[in-house]
Amino acid sequence: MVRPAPWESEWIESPRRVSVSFGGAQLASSTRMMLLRQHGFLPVYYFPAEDVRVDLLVPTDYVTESPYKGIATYWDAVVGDRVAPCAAWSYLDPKPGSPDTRGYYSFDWHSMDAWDEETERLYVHARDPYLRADALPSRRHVQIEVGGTLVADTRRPVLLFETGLVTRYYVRPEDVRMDLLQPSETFTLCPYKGRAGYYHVSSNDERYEDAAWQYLQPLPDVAAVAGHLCFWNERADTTIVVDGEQLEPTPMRRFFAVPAPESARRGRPGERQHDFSRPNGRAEGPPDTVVDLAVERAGGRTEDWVTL
Amino acid sequence: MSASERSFTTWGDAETSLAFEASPRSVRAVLADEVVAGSKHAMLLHESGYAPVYYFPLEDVRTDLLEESEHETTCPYKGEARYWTVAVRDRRAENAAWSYPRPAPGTPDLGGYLAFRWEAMDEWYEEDDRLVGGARDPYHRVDAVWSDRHVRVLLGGVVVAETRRPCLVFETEAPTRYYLSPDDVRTELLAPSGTSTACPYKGMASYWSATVGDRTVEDVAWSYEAPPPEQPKLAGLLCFWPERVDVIEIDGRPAP
Repeated sequence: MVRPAPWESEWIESPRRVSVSFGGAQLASSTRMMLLRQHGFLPVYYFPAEDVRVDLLVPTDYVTESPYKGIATYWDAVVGDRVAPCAAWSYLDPKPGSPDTRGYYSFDWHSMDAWDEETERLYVHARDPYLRADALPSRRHVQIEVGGTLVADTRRPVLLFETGLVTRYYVRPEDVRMDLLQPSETFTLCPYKGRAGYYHVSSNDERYEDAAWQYLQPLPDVAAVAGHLCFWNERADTTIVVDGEQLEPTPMRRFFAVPAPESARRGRPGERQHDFSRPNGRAEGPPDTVVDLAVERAGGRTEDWVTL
Repeated sequence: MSASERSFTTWGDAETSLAFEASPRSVRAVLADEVVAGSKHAMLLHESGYAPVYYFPLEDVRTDLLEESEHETTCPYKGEARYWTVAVRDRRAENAAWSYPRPAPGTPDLGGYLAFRWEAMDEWYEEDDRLVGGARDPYHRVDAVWSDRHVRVLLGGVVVAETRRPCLVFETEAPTRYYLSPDDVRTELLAPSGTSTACPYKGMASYWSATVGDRTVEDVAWSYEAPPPEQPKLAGLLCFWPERVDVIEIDGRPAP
């Protein structure tokens, strides 16, 4: 039996009990979950049909087409007077060579009211069992300029290594020109790190919007970044110098583009869509979904996060 | 350097897959308070079935502390390894460093790198964080999740633990483990065994032996008294080896 390397695994069994709720009903709950991991997309849970309340699903004409998996068929989730349009999908006839997802349903994360693993609430998207986030104290010398002004200078940063992503340099507030920062309304959610609040940075009579962020109460994975400030390595207005060497700017990840471009808005039901144009880091989803799943600027359910 | 530009080479065959990956972490290996190797350009060698191993560029190794040894080994996937003894003042770590000066065909260029046996070094660091029990695998995740599943542990026909509030630990490519509050365990049947193990993700585990009637089962359970900050839920919970008890029942069925 050939076991693929972890970074190649795609359609894998998950031992976790996962439940999804909508309109006061549990639409699906299973201890026989599958997780679909695809390169460049967020991981997605699939439920075996036997563990899905198919009586609460109403067929639609809507489909999406994946060049890899084939055509996904969609259902509305209907509970009492609440309707989640095209919130459930299944591949009735997956393309040869793609994972055999026949007999499984999945649900659009944000159309649902709640997702749970065992008895804990899940946020934003399923966690990938092959990713980790390590926040490590470091002695590297980190200097950060925004709009030409030195706003952070530290020799005690916390480096955040998230598998496959660019290294982030978190700086304690004592080493940041906090007098140049003003809190922004923006926040983002991450299932590995928690809820981040953003700051604008004032520099040379300009205001740089959402140029820094901070996890005040991070999830335990990255506890060491609590209260620290972090700056973009993706923005032309920001330069990060580590041990005297300026970091090469990295391109903005596709699903950081918020709001989604107009071109990504879904067409009419029945119209075939190509999933690779979706801006939100997922292959499937209902029409008119323009929330960003990896980084949401004003979505999510903040009340849930306060208690974390 | 962006993640996508970082060097990542895979090779191997149907039985064994390997990858040689640039690590963004600064890594140090210390023996007798001397940094024997310290690099911001370390590589991580992944080999299926093994924990990943750090390889240091030669220029980041204190080669003046190395003495060539006679020891040699051969690996079908990596080539012929040569070994060195690391000597720092009166401390000697025999055959603790190795290299593949002529890597096997189809293998990435391992020749310019040296690796060190984990246990032979006194201390390892990623950035300023002391490592325990091995390098962290960036593709390995440990999620501890509270559950309401009904868990019973039977040993010698006796229920030694029963709970409806276990903490389930999902570790990549490992069986699910059921961690139980000591309040839900018959701890009067347990005694510390003195055994301990180290895990890079969960910290130092202490082991417990159980005596039921006239039968004692050594190291039947373990606990993490002081797990690292990323695993706060595990602190003080007890976990049983399914292989050493009669059965661990989950919702009335034997644990898979």
